[in-house]
Amino acid sequence: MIRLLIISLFVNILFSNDRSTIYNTGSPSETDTTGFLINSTNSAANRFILNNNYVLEAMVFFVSLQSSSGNITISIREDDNNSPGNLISGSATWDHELNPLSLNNYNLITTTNLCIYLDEATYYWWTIETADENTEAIWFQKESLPYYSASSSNDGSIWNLQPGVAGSGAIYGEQVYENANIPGDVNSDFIVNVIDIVSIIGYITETSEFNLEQIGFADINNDGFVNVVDIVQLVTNIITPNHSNPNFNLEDINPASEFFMQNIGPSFFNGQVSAYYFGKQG
Amino acid sequence: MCRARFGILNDLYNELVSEGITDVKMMGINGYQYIDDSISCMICENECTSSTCNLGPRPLAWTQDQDDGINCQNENQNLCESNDDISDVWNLWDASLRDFIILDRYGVEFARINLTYNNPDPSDIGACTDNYQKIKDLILAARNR
Repeated sequence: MIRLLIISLFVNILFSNDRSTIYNTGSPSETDTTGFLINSTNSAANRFILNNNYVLEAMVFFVSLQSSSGNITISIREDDNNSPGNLISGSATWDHELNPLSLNNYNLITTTNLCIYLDEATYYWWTIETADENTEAIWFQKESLPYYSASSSNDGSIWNLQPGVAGSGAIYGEQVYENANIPGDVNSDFIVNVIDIVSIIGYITETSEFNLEQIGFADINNDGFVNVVDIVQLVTNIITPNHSNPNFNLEDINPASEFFMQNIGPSFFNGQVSAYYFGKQG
Repeated sequence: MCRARFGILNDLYNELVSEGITDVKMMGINGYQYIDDSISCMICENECTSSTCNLGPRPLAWTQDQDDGINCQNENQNLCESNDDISDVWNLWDASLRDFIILDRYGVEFARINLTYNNPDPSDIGACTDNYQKIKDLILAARNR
C-alpha cells in the first residue's frame, strides 16, 4: 500500500500541478489480477473522447509482464466505426520495453516533443499490442460504466467491444488555448467594428463568401440566419458603451517593481492596456 | 507551480518592453486565502533558491488582496464584503485561481484566460500549443481596441 501511495504521489507531482489529465481509469489495487491479455494474437484498446483541444504530453499505463521479457507497442488511433483505426499521426506509436522489475507495473511514455494534437469531441483509441512474438503481458482492467474498450484475439483484424471496462492508466495533455468567440468579429482581429459590418453586408448581398466559422460569428442573434437583423444588433452592440471592470487599489509589495509601495489597480493604469494575474504565492 | 506561471508573465512583459511596447502593464494579485504563504519565490527575492528564479528578481507588480472591505466601498458597494473569508478583489472580479484578465485602455475587459488549463510556458510542449504567442497576440490586440 505504501508503495502504491508513493507511486501515486510521484505521478501527481509529475503531472497534476501543471498538466491536464485528459483521460484516467486509475491504477490497479494490489488485489487486482484481471486484465486484457496482450500477446502475439491478443491486443486491447481503450476508447476516449476529449472536451477540449489538447497536445499529447504523456501516458501512464499499468501492464504486468508475464513472460521473461517483453516489448509492446502503444498507439493512439482514430475511431473507425467503433474500432481502432489508423494512427492519428505517423508519430503516434511507441515501442516500449516492459521492465520485469517495474514497481506496481507502472509504465510511462512522455511525448512532449512530438506535437501530437488531439481534437475535442473526437473519439480516439489508446491501443496496446505486442511488438514481438514472445511477449505476454496483462494490461490491468478497471471497471466503470462510462469506460469503453475493445479487445482483439486475431491480431487486430476484428475487435470485440467491451463497454464498462478499460485498461488501467491515464493520458496527460496540455490544453491548446482557443480564443473566445466574439459575436460579430468575422475577420477574427478580436475587435468588432465597421470593418466587420461591411464584411457581413458583403456576405448578405452575396458579394463575398464566409466560411462556417465566420457565419457563426455573423449570426449575432443565433437564429441560424445572417441577415439585416444581425446588422442592426451588431451596430447596437458597437455604439453601446461597454462597462469597465470594477476599480480597486492594492499596494504593490514587490521591491523590484517600478510601482513598489504604490496603490495600483485599473484606474492607476487608465489609458494603458493592463493585465491582472490572480495567483497563489508560495 | 503558480509561481512558474507568474514567471512566464514576467518574461512576456520583459519581451514586450524589449520590443518597445511600454503601454502594457501587468500586476499579480495574491488571493486572501494564500496570505500566509511565502512571497519570496513569487517575486524571486534573493533568498529564493528555486530554479524558477534563475533570472533574478521579477519586475512585475505583486499585490496582496484583503478581506477588509476597503475595495468594497463607494461604487463597489454590494459587489463584495469585508470579513466574509472571500478575497475582496477576486470576488469583485469573479476571478478564479490563475485567471489572467486583460483590460483595454478604457478599463473594459478584453479577455479572460485561465492559465491552469492554458499553460503559457513556451518551452517543451508549449512550442506545440503556441499558448504563449496567442496570449501575447491578445495583449497586442487589446492595444488596438
